Amino acid sequence: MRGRALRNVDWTLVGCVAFLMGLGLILVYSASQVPALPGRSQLFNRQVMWMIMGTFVLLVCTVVPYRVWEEYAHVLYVISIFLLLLVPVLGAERLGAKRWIALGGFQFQPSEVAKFATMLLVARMLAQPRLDIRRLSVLLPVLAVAFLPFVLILAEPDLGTSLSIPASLVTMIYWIGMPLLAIILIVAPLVSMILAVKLWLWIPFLIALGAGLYFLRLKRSLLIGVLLVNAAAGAVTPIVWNTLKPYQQQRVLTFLDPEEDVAGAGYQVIQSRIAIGSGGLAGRGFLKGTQKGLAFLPQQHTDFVFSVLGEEWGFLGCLAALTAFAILVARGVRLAMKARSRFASLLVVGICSSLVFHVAVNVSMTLGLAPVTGIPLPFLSYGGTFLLATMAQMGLLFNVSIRRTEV
Amino acid sequence: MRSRPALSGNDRRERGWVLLGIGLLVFLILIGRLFFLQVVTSGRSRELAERNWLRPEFVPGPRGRILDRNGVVLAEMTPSFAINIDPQYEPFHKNRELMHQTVERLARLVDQDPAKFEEQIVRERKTTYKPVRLVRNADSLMVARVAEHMISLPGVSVMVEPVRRYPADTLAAHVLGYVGEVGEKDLETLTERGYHTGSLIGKTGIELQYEDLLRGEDGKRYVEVNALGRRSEAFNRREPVPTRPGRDLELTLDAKVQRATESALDAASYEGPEPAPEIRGAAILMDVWTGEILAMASRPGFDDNVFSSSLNQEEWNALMTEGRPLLNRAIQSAYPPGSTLKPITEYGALAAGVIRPGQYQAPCFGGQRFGNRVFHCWKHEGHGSLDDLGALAQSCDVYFYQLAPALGVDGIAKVARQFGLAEKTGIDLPQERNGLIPSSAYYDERYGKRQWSPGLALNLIIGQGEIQVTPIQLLRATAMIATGGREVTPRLLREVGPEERQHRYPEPKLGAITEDVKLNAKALERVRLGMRIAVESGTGKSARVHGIPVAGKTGTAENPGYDHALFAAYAPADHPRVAAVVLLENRGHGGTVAAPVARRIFDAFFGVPDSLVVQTVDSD
Repeated sequence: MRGRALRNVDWTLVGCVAFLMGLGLILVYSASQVPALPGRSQLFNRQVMWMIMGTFVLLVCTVVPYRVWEEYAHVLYVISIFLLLLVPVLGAERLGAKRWIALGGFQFQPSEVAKFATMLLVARMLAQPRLDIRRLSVLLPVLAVAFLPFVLILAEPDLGTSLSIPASLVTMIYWIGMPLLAIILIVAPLVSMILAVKLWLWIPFLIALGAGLYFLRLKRSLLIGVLLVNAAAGAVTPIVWNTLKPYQQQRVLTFLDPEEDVAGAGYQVIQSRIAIGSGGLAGRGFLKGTQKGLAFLPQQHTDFVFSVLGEEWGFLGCLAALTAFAILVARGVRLAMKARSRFASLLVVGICSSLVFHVAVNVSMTLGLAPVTGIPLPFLSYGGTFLLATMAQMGLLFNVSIRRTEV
Repeated sequence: MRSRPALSGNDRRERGWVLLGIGLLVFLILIGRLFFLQVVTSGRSRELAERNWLRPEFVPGPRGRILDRNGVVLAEMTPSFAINIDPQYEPFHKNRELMHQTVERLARLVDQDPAKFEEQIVRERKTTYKPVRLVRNADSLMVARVAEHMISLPGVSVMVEPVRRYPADTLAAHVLGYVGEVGEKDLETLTERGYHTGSLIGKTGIELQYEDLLRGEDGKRYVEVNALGRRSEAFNRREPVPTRPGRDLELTLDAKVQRATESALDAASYEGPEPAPEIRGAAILMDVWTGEILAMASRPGFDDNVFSSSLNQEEWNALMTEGRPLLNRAIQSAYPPGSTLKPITEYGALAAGVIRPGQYQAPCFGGQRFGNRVFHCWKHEGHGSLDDLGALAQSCDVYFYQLAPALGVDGIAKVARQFGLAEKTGIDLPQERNGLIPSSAYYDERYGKRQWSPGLALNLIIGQGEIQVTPIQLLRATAMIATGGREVTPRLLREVGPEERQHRYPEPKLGAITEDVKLNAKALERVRLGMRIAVESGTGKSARVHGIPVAGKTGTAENPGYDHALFAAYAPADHPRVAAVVLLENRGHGGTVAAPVARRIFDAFFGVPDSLVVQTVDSD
């Protein structure tokens, strides 16, 4: 058994994870060397500790057969919801949001546990044999399971993290058999709601949507119906807009036009773009980034750690990191295609989509392609709970990889 | 459970490729954007990043020294005390009021207006992160007072900074000129040549003329600033640009002779009605063969050191108006030459054959009728009958009046031009003046065609009327007489110090440009002899130097005020080496006022202890 397990280890996956962990340590070390911000120097030591714990978590998640995880998914889900409910009560407030619970000496984010647990439970629910996802009696309970943690995390507020739940959910639903067209029809109104903030973004989207559906040979009556639904969703936006907190409004506006507010919210994006751009092809060298070193970069150890990579290691460094992520995802999808167990296959798809979502949103944010949502970058950003959650997911990926022939 | 794929194989493969495609598309978009930012437009970002943190600070490159021909320092950079305040001083960030109090206290200590300081701080903080220099060139008493109160003056420092110093104070001030900070307006054009706010630049004299050689090239030190706007020491990776010192200039001046020249000018006598006016005038000594200026003085003088500390408006106005001390009268003022023109006009008459050597003219009885007007000789009792030599020695006007009709206005103008009068000599000093030689065309223009009396020639031939020449032009003409027609370009730069920086500016042409003017040797010989006799026994007797024969010509130029006294001479008369011109505004006769000054200049040059002063009674 042990021998077979070792033979089945996907060393490419292991290599990618190890590479990204190492890169994460290098970047967090660099981000901790900021003379202007002397309090940062402890970050590296703590991240090393998190990495060691993360490796332990990864091993546990690899060794414990995924069937056990499937079996106790609902328990974990209930615990995580309970923890999320504790956040408003016990949570520590930072930057106007309550996201952390202090547990003993350290703080952790229940939202990360909830994301993980929700993914497990959804995978378990969708793994029922001969399940027809197109039936509402099947879809609604799944949506409800995902909706609860989504709303709780959104209320913290933590828009970025909460959005990763629907991102995984949609992919898993697609994976289990939902037609692509149906997904487009469901997702499009949501996009409409966001883009309707600025008409010059929304109108082209509607035109593109109409044209796309036309070429997919959708019935004309249905096409008009879809566009009307999208129009209605956009009309709701002003109402939703007023319920957003000013800083959230500002973030959306800044994303849409960063130059508009150079000193305020746009500052982060502009400085990040300068940092990445000034890295050039080969980067400015380890510890030599001025944007980072002189503290012009905001949140450089957490959400904007990719900017440090861009500044100090250049295009080549960024390419290496993104390639590692891409290989990880590609191997994951291949694994999902091969895995004999429905649960395992679904779980892998969920993990991969979550990974793509985090990388895409975080990197887009540092490049000025997406609003500043406060989403960390897997492996590279400083942060304990998130790293442990990522490592747990990688553990499950290894787990499935080793046992891919099992049902 | 039976062992079978979770989904039907085909469907799974298809959906797998869709997901893989979407995932890869996302990565490709990110990589594309990265490529654009990091490879295509990277330069722009790097520039923006540098603008974030790198602030250049200038380190002044020391300006070259100015030395005399024997190595005596005439101008140099020396350390001086400046009192600065640093608006970036940490406690000021927390407590603005503290800075205002400090400024107030400091202003009281150095006896200045606090409002002026505040204004300066606000102005300079816009452009620099450096401490603001409130007091330049502070004297030691002031420094001691500030040092004593240092504890109650947070953010204030006493710094040493180089200033331009002229160790000999007023010596050769007009030649050396002075330096000042670049004006705001000039800065627009000078920025690309490396000047910036606070740069020193030559304003007049040699300092201006040879600015490109003298100026030190400023170095740059890069100060790094972090996001909080504070200095950061961590990233000092940009190599500072080293300063390049300016080059030393060795002038042709001889400090010893220069000093003697200036004191001789200052001691000039006065013949007019009391009270005696302030001495205004110029004296120059030049090597007749090379054009090297050995001494050049102008009065009134000024101390070029005053420009190194701040002048107030009142002091500045005084320098600009009263007596115009900044004017270098040796080259920037033109005067009627009076009788000092006579050697030239007599040469003209001899060369044109109007008179023959040794030819006597009708005797002088103190005046000459021309048309219905009588032109007087300066000696009312008359000179009697004189030949060409006597006419120069005694400076007899009547003798020359008789030559005027034959030469005519244009004949006189022609010979004057031949000797380079009213034409810039090309001396290496800025703002040289032209002067004026009237001709018939000039008179036609001024009085209308043929509407002027030919009698004007009688005035012109003795150097009176509209004619205006600068002392330096007169000096060169005198040197030409001495050398037989060698037209030198007077110059002050003797040698440029060793190259200590990259060659960036064209080397100045060393060696005077000389042009040999073809002159009538025989005629010139008579003129020289006449000038020699003038000093030996004529109007220029008070220029006699012990053991050195001098040839010279006195001049007394009539003008709206009291007469200007002039003297132009060269020595030794037999083997000429140097020529001198002395001019004194409104002080009387050339023979009694100007000639003794020239004598003392020659004394200093030839190292003659102190020639016997010959008091002349008669003088033109």
